[in-house]
Formats: sequence, structure tokens, C-alpha cells
Amino acid sequence: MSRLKKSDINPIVATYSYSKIIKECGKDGELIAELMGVKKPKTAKKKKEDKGEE
Amino acid sequence: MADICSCSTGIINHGQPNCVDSFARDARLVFVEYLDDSGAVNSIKSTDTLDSTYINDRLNAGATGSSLSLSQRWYVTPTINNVVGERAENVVQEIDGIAFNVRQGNRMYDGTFYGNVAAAPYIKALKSMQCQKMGFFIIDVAGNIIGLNNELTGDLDPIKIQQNTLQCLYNFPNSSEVQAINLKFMWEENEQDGDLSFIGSSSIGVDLLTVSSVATVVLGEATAISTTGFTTTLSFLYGEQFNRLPKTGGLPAEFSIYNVTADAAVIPLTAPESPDGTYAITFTAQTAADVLRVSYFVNGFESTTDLTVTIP
Repeated sequence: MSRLKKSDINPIVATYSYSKIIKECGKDGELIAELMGVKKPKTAKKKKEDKGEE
Repeated sequence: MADICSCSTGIINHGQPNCVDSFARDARLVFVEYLDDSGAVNSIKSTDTLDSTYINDRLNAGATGSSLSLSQRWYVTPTINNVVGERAENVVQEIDGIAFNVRQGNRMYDGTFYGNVAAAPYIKALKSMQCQKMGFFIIDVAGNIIGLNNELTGDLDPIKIQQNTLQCLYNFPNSSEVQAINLKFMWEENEQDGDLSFIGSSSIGVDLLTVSSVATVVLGEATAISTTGFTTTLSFLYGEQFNRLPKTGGLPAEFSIYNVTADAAVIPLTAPESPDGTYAITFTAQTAADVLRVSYFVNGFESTTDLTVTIP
């Protein structure tokens, strides 16, 4: 099967969180998240930055 | 409709404006059920705005998400040609050599679809109206809508068809003629030519000569079924016996999936198409042995028979 295109994906997926996409879309989760513009949250790094500011 | 000659209302004045707009020859027909589910005539109301929303709502009435019922759907035909429907002369009773009018003669509608639009399966769509209480509007070559003026309501009513009079004849193509479907039916006996009226194309926000009626698509048997997806096909009723024309360009959100066992909607996540008309639909993992009911709809296309998929 050819690589997924954005038009192959239900637009509702764009409203999902990154973790929900990975959980529900299985092996294509990362690609689907990328195509739908849903980015992986950088929570760990943010916490460090927050700590640094303190 | 109203009596043309009434002893109580007297004679109608014969004066006319200097220039009277009129409609042109027939181009297409819009079939409607004469009455909707509520018992109201499927008229075009004087308060209706005939924009693209109105027309799309009528064309797709009864489909998923529509606010109208299926009984309000417009079934628009392809171009019809060679319309030769004529009204027969009055039925009279001769007494002492005097022909007394008994009633007006019947008017038959007689037109023909030619070429590719006259594919044999279209006969089934036409004949499916045979036993229904139908009416019709005419779209002329200028895009006007022709119907009957309802003097009581001021609405444009569809022309009532005499039930069980519709017939169609398929003509094979030959060395000098293309294939054709001849369509005939009778106007309901009391419909009056004098009530004919029309809405000008300038008052209609859509080119009715180009709108498409809903087409039926068929969901093919599910294959490659897993807990997270299956593959199916979408095809039209037309085309070769083992190779119906594929419905291409389907999108995931146009498929509706319902888990009958769990009594819950299932959201199609992806539906890549490869080859044309074949869709690999994926969704969140479902439980083994659950039964899914699948249908397809987008404006202009709908599946009329659901596909059943059992999760392995």
C-alpha cells in the first residue's frame, strides 16, 4: 500500500491529542499525527525550562 | 385544480401585458413524491429561497444529517429530448350532432433519453416510480422550473402524475441510432394547462441544467478484516457485469460505521484508496466477534444497502 496522504485521514483526527492518535491509529500513528499537524508534546523539556526560570 | 369556467366568478379579462415572459422547451425533469410524509404537497413555496442550499437539501433529502425526509427528495433526470407530449382533444358526447364537452382530454408526457445517459440500469430507477404517487417539475433549456400555480397557496406545485401510467421502453443502439429510453406517463386527469407557471432561472441561484441527482453506490464485500480495519469497494450500479464503474475520491469521513454489538459509533480514521474505488478503512481496535454496520454517504452519492462486517 502506498504512503498515507492527508486526504486519506479523517479530519476529526486533527482534534485528537498526540497520545490518542498513537494509541488509536497503531503503526501509522506517528505518520498520521505528522500529516495532521499534531505535534508530540515536549512536556519533559518544558519542565526543565520552568525549573531553570525559578 | 380550479375550474376554468365558473358560473360564479364570471369571465376573466383577456388583456395581457405588452410582453409576457414564458418558458422554453423541456431539458430535464424533477420527479418528487407528490405529498411528503406530513401530507403536504412537495411544492416550492413563495417564501423559499432557491439558492444552492435549498437545491442541495432537496437533492439529498433523507440522507444522513438532512433536515428533510426522503419523501421530499428531488430526483433529477438527465437531459430528455424529443418531448412530444400532447393533450388529447376533449372527451365529448354528441347529442343531435352537437359535441358537448364532457371533460378535457388526457395529456401524455412523452420524451426520450438518448446515448450514455440511457444506460439500461436507468430503467430500474424510472420504473421504481411506477406505483408511487408522483409529481414532477420541468426544467427547461433556459434553467427555469415549470410547475403548476396553486391559486390557494400561491405555491408552485409539482404536476401530478396519474398513478400507474408511467412506462419506459429501452431501444438498443443500432447502425443508425444510439441507445435510448423512451419515457411516457399521463398527467393526472384533473391537472389544468392553464395553471402552468414557472420560476425564472434568474430567480434560482443554481444552474439546474448541471445539478446531479443522488447516485446509488454499492459497498463491496469486506476483505482483509482485522480488529482495526477492513477493505471494501465502492462502485456504481452502472458498468460491466463484473467490473462496475468505481466510485473514486471517497473520504474517510464519508463512511459511517456502527458497532451493532457494542451499540456505539466507530469513527473511521483513515481510508486510503488503492486501486480506484477500493478503500482500506481503519478504526480503533474493536472487540472480536463484534458486528459492524457500514454505510456511505456524501452529497450526491449514497449506499442504499448497508455492509455488515464481523470482527474476527
